[in-house]
Amino acid sequence: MTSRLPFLHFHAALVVMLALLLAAGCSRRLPAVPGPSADADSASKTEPGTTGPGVDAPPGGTTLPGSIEERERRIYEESRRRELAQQPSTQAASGLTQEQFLSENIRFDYNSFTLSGEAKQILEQKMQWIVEHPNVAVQIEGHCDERGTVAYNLALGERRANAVKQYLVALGIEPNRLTTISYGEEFALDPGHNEEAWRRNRRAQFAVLNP
Amino acid sequence: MSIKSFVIGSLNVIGVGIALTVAVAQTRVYIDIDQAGGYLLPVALPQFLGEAEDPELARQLREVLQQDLETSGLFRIIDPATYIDPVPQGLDELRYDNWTAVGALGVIVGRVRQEPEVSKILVELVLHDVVQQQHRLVGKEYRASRSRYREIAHRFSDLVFQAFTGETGPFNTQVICVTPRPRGEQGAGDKPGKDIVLMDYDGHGALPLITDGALNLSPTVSLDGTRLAYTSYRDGFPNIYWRHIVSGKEQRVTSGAGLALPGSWSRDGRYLVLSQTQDGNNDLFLYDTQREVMRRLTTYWGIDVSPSFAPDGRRLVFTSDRGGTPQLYITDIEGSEPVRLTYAGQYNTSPVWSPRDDTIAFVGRSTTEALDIYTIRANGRGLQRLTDGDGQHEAPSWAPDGRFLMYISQNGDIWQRHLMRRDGQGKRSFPAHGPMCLAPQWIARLTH
Repeated sequence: MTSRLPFLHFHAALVVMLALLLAAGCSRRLPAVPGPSADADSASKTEPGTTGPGVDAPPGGTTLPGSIEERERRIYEESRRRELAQQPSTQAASGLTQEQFLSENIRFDYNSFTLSGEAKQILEQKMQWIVEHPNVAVQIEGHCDERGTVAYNLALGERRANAVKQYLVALGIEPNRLTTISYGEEFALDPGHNEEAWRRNRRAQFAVLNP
Repeated sequence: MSIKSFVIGSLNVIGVGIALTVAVAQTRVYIDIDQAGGYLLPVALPQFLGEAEDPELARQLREVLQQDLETSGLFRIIDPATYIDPVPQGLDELRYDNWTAVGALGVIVGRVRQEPEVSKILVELVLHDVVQQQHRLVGKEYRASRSRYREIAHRFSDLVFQAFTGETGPFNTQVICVTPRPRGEQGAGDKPGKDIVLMDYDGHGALPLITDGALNLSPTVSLDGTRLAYTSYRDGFPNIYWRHIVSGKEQRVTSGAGLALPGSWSRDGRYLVLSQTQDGNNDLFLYDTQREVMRRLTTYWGIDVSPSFAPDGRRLVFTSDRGGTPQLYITDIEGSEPVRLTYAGQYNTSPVWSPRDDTIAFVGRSTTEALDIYTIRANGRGLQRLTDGDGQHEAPSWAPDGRFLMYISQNGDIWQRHLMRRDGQGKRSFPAHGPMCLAPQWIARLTH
């Protein structure tokens, strides 16, 4: 079932596709897998350890272009990971210390859990760090600014953490290396009551569980 | 011809049983709560008879009576400096003309006495109707330990309230709150916990309920006051627990890594409607505490949160972003297809269904970017903004009888509690006392 295109053509096609996706600047949406639940984001469906044929062959037969896209992306990520694993030093890879990995947060717009282009770039860097530290369990925290109500902010924070996790999983990180938790508006980074504080507080923040 | 009704109420420390027979001389309603607007009924509160015997107690009682009546937004206490008679002639004797002259419609007369038994007091309180010179509208005699003086005053404030409005008073009530842990007890790390506490509606008498150092949120008490459900992060993830308040016996409702938040209890206290995230999908569930069974109510892939029961115990209002923005929807315990309730505004959350009718209070983001308290009827009509469009107001909670709303307003780093009537009139802030209260739930008195 793997593509038989020569590597260069394959690579070029991937670059074009990635460029298109990044340029669109919207949150990444995989084609819907038909099924009993109306879940439009099939990435979450793939979380419980399914990486293989179950994803590539949706029941009922969805549009083939959709499933091809997903399959090719995974192959790209796997080959990228192999490349990274072969690199001897961290210099050409993530270039991050653990402290840097933990200190840079993913920002969100008000009331949104969409990943911006900048967020995705940060996550790609973090992905590399995670790959380089295979024994570390990573927790993604979802946070909100103080505006809005407690319960809804807890749910929104959860959406933010999950969006980050889904993106990392799609980049090739094993799902069981990442846990998510929402703290809603409970733990503000910046105690101020202004736009700058709110902007800093709308975040997904990384933690390591077994440093 | 005057009808003297004299009722003896007896409180003891182990507490309960007051034979509450209040004979109202004339059922004339002076204040219609729903029409009162800004009107404040003037009441006089002169020194007590025999005050010199126990000036401290007399002062404390009068202070609570005054705070209660003024906080209700329906009464004002006339300045004692203007009184012609600084002390009444007797519990049942007033020179009514002198009270009419200072503009009083009611006069509260009191007497305090030390009982022979140590630390016990005898408090007599009588409300006089000046306008009709009916002298006694209501009179009570309370015997209790001295430490119960606040509750005595609250009970009598309720009677004054009832005498003038015909409605049950809100003063002998309590509030469940989430409160930040005191400095120095916040524990290590950057994630300080929050406690759940119980206190009188005016902030006094705070009692810890959950103070294990973890982050504890979203408490909700059943109507009969016996059960408390809440979310705790104590095991690392936000899960729901519920406990019998008296015995402290606790059960865990959810486990797993997804967010779980209790919404509200059914009227009979058997069911808890809640929201839980499973497989990344956050939905409403109905938990049967008797059979320990969870039943799914919604299936939408996005956020469904904050469910609140209607008084009929069947219908539910909740927040969902299934329409693209957080809005209120109505469903029921059968899981019927949710019907959208709110269409105005881009952000409507935290709904609480009135305990007495089809009014729903909620938090909405106004065009000014402020967060305000709104009400709407369950048929979608009658949308009304109650707060001023200039600030952050959150966490509405109905008084047990549904005539008042408690809410919190942001003032810098502080969240301050306020109340208002259900039409938005009579806004008052509570005197600053007691722990800061986030997420208040206004309930009938649990503890004595």
